Amino acid sequence: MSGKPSTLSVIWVLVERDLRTLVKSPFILINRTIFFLIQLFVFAALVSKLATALGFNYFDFYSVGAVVSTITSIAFIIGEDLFEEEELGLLDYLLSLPFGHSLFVIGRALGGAVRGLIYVTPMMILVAYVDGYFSPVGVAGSLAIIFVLATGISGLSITLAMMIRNANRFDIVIALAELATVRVSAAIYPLVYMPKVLQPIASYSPVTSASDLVRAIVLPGYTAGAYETVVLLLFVGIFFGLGSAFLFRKIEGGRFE
Amino acid sequence: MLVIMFINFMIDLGVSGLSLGAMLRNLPYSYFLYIAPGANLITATVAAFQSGRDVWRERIIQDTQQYLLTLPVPKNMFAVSRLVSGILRSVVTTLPGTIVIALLYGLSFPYFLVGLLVMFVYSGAVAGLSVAAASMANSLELFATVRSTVQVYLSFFSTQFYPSGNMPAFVAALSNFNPMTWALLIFRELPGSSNGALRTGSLDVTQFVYLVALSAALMFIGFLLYRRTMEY
Repeated sequence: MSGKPSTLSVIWVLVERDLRTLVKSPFILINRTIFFLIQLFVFAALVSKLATALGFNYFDFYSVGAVVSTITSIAFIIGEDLFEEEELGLLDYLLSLPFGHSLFVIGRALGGAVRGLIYVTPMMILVAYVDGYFSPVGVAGSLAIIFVLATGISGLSITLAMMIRNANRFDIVIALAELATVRVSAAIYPLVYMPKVLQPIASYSPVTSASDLVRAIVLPGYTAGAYETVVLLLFVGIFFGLGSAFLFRKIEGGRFE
Repeated sequence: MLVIMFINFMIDLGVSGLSLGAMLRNLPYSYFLYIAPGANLITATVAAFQSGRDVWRERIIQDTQQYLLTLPVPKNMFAVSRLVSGILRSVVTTLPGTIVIALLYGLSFPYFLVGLLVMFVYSGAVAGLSVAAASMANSLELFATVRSTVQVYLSFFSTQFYPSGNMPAFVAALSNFNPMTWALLIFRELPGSSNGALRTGSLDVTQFVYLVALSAALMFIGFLLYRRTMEY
């Protein structure tokens, strides 16, 4: 062996490792797929029957939100992986490998996002088909938006994993964060029906922005633009930075048990 | 932990419940009140699975189960006590939520106690499921998958979000074997001052018997599977 591995090859190795975890985790893959199908064809279909006086098709609205909420919950898994690696003592080993810690953070966040994207691509195609949208370019654009959201959520999840020491507390906080990011957003219901006090918060949610942007592409009559794009990118920037900062503090501070 | 779980419940109820309730104003009853007890039952499920996670961690991560089994407690009693602790943990965690539901429904104190009893029996069902999952899973991935599957089943294949009359036949059939369906039915039928529109007057002791039977069966399965892990 000669020389240091290039930055891109290190990132690829880290992303590939997370992708291998995906292949080795058939239960999660099957479970999330079934969960998504049940959300769409049981929950959304049955609630749509109740929601007959809305003036819009709730099933179509929810279908896009289901994809966005699924990628959100999948992107949170990367934090759980890091927490488990730390519990098992594997994180120490990974950090001793010959590449920079910044590359480790970037690789893991991207790995989480790519993994999420692979999960939801068939779901996005199914939703586009069910909603009567057939442009491959539009579907690719929707997937790009979803990927950006997943990168930010991965950063948030890594941040939480590095901040919390207790396993039970981590479990609950991650579930709470997932619940809050999805529920306080326009993923599963329009902002106008949310409690007034939460509407301004939800309007700044990256999940709202991603849902609005994808709906504007896939569903007729929905609009979104620069504001949603800026909110989404800001979220990614902030949590990617925070995740890195906390991981650095942990790595450099020698706080391992 | 209690505070976080209560926040969890309040997000479920105060955000999703109110939003869906505002969206479905065309119904002859308050949809917010209709789904409110479900939010508390889901919190009970999450709390029960925390107990299951402890059992799983003792077996797989901490490797302390063998030590615990050397303590001077018969194995059967040890297994039963873990199930009971899961139930109590779940009931205590959801107590604030149960009070909120009782206030929303305008229940009198005796009916609040009936509601508490329903939470206790339901918690038995989910404690049994969580210990069963913890006993079968050898990886966190499998445990998390079972936990998530159980939550999906309890939520979407029950009457938490929609009446059984609106369900396709196979979903309605599955919902009959779901402890949440029976717990919700009893909750909604409790005579309160604010939930009159939800009540159909169909409450009788049979529904309670169904809930108890399902709960006892699931606890027994959890007991047997947990007990089996102690023999290897």
